[in-house]
Amino acid sequence: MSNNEYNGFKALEQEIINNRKDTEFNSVENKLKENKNTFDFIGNLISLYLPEVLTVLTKFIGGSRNNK
Amino acid sequence: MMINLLSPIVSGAIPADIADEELVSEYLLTQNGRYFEILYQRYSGKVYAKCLTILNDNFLAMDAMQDIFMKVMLSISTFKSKAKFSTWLYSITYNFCIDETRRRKKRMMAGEEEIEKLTDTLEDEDLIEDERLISVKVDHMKEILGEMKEIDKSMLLMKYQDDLSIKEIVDITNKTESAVKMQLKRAKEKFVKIHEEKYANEQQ
Repeated sequence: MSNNEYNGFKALEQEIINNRKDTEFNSVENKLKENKNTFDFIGNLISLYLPEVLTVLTKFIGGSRNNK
Repeated sequence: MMINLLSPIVSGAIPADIADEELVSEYLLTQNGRYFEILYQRYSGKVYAKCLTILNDNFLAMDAMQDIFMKVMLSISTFKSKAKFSTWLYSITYNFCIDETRRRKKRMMAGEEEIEKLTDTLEDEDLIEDERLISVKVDHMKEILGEMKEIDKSMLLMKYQDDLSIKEIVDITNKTESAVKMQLKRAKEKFVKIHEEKYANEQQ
């Protein structure tokens, strides 16, 4: 298939892209950004507190083993 | 080794011709959302067009596009840079739309599985030329695709819109090669049949 040849499937795709509503696309983009920020926030919390949680857990598990 | 601290990427100006795969690796490295934004700007239209063609509904297509990019964002670390980013993204898109349809029409699924079982054993020559499909006018194309099953539309889009090879379609759909060829053949036959029924009296 040469690049200049008409292709109805590609023409249809282009028509849908040309007729899309930018506002809807921007709102999806903003929602994605919000979600990314939430994930980053949760990720930061986890990376911040995970070492401490692991230390506490290790102590707890170690302690309960010693009690047996 | 000298590190260029003022490289265009660090200073914020990302080259317009930067490859998709490079954007992914920079995004993973820096977690800078700007890289993901560029991927979104490059592909949101195409993903939306596929969702709209397959799902036939603007609201469903917008929701699907959002969910697909969310999925991409969450699983981007699993993307293997040897593959093409667009093929990986389309794979998520087609599978999402087909799953979405199956969720909505559970009854359809049993029927399709039956066809899949049959297709593994059937080998039949594909006699319909590609030209016959791709030469169809956009308005007619919309009407014809609107009457086809989602899985058949997906097959045609993968082959004629995305120029994917049979091997790539096999990877995306998780079907055998003979099943893909048979599904594609049937999709082409359905397309031509609807076209003939609707526009037999019109000249292309």
